[in-house]
Amino acid sequence: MIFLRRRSVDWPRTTPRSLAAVSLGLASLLIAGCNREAIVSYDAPKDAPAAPAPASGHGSMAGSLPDQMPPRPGMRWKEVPNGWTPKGATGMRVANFAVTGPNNGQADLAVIPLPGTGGSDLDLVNLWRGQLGLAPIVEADLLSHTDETTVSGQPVRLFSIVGSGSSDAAAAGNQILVAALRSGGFTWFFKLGGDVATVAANREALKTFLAGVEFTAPEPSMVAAPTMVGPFAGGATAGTPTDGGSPGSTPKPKWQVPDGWTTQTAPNMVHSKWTVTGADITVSVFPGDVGGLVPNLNRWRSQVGLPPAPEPELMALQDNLDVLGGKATLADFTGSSPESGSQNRILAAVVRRDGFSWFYKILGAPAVVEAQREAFVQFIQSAQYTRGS
Amino acid sequence: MSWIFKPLASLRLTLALLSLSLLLVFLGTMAQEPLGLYLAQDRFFHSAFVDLASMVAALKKTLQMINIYLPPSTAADVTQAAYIPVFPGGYLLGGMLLVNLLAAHITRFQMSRKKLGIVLVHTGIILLLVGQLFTDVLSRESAMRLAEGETKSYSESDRQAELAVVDGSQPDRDRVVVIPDTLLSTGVPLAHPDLPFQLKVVRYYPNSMITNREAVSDAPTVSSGVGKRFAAIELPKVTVLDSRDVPSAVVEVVGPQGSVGTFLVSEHLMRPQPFEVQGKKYELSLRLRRHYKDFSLTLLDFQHDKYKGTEIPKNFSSQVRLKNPQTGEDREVKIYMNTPLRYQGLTFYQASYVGDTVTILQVVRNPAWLTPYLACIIVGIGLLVQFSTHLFAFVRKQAAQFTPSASA
Repeated sequence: MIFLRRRSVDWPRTTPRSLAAVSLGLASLLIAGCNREAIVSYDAPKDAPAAPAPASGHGSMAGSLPDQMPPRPGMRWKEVPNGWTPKGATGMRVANFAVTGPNNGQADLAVIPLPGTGGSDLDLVNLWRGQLGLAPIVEADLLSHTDETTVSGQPVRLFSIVGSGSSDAAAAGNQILVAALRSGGFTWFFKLGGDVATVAANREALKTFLAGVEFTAPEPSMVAAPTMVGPFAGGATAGTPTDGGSPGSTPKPKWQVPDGWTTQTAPNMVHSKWTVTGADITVSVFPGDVGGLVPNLNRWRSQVGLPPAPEPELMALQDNLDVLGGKATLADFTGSSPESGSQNRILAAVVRRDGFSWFYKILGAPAVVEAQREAFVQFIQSAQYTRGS
Repeated sequence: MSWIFKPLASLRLTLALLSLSLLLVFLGTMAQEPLGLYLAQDRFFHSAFVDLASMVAALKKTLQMINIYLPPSTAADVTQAAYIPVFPGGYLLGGMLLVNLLAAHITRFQMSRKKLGIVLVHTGIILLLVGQLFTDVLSRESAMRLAEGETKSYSESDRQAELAVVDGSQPDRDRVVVIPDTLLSTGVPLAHPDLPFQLKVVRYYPNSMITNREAVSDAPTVSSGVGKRFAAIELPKVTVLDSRDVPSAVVEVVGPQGSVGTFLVSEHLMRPQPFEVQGKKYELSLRLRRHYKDFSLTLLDFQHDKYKGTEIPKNFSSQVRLKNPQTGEDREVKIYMNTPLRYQGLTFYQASYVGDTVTILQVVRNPAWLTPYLACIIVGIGLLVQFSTHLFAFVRKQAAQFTPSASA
């Protein structure tokens, strides 16, 4: 308390040094904060093993879900306009349609979901303009290229880009109509491209189609990029099952799980899941025929990097397995993943019961799947389904 | 030295700085709409000067308040414009306020009992200013995403990436070499003593999307992995709050015998891509930047309650198990809204969730987190002391005035 009695302290003499010290400290801090980052190395615990790598085709593209992004929803549509032919999924596209127009004009509609919200509308429009050899436009010009429509009840802008004669010769006379919906951490692009007459003739059909699009619960898959959930791959119509309850309320059938299978928590839209070292076993159930046998077999082929097979070849597999109370279709495909180069084998079966399709699948290293083949088949054959299950 | 300190201690300077600070806060807030939160913060508050393009963006937005509409500036306009400083930024104004306050003490204030309160108030303000600077420089935010049953010993920065090369040949641990995204630029060779090869960035995309390879006419050649079928398209960098850049790169691995392969790596891709050099297997990925801890968290249970009949969150909480092999700690902790876990200088807040089984914890490392609290306490005590001093003096004066004199 003594110093408080002093009337003053000799600040001017002592504080320049203090001030210098403070300044030096702050400068050091700023310099420390501006340190250039460097390449570093360290030891780290191993990451938890990932699910078997998906391979080529529509279910193939391994992609991350940034932490802020929820799993991508599935998509389905109410009706396919006249003159449109579903072409299934390819690459990044979860759906493709061949679209016809006047004078045998051709166009195609691609549905492409991408994680993140991408760039601004202007960025995207300029990206597509670049594809048609057109110069970028500025924000103020955007409105003149824009129409309003809805996707799944949500208003979106429909952008129109027409290749001109002065642009790239290949693009001249072509038009792109694109709707971009940002939803659930993804941007869904619906892109109709083709000759101007065909695209113009299908403009209203596109709007009708977009209005009928519905998004479903997030997919179980860990892949963000564009996988199409089997049930909707063939363009299944919206609606609830006509018999039995919803899949969510479907009780577990009675089955004999082979020894050595470790029960896992089933992700969304997967009924049950087990693992053995080197392979995953899943059972999913959906109402209806979920697009039919051929699209689902081709979907499984794509998961091991195989191209779609001709329909007769796949239909020859129909009902090739005896199960309790009837027949099932068992498919066995082996291919190599273009990403990892490793071979994967899928053994999968579809069992139709009481208006539901049960999908059984084991996916993993060929040797592991071979070792589990007999147990897997017996497991399918052991399943007893109750009415409504 | 007084010729230096007197102008710096000027009360007019204080008022000017405070006025400019008010203006800066206002303009910086207006700029957040056209530029996005992060760019506006960067240009107005985390800088010595505000540049002309940012100021124009803020002024155009401000003019809208009086129904004058000019074509709004975009983030791209600002980031591509030449840097012309036109207005003092947050660091300059904060620094000047600090200097002004210190200079005022040096030249004007004399330590006395009467001034103790003011000294304490000013000390608190200085602590607040310095603490904010420390927070800006030293704090780090990241996120830990956990599914129920999942264990992690790292968090991830949501706006920074790293190119990771993982040598998984050891049975229990990985040897990881990480290259920050700030070092990734087209044409730059990257090397590290732990790697028997170089990495050459053929092309870097700070923000990108992935599409079919055939849709990209100028995609660099890729010889291995997923890039044989897919390619990146460069997008302008984004600055808005609800979006972020997702980088991609085409990287060539060049071993002692020449090129091992060229890969497309991207944050869009989840799985690392394998390759082999001198008989040793490695994995390559571009991922969110990781920050490893000495301990791990396992999500045991995630609870998510909503107000009945609505989608409005009522409460969400994460029951986690904290394990620290170095200290032997193994305990359960419940993290929920406004009740974070504080451990080893880190604070884990319940930030978000996905569905009913995945939690997202915000992980904040801020060595200066106590300074605002201390500063406020010191300012509070200072104000109390100052007012009390005046009050007691007033009471004493009044008492003396109304005390009857002995002769009365």
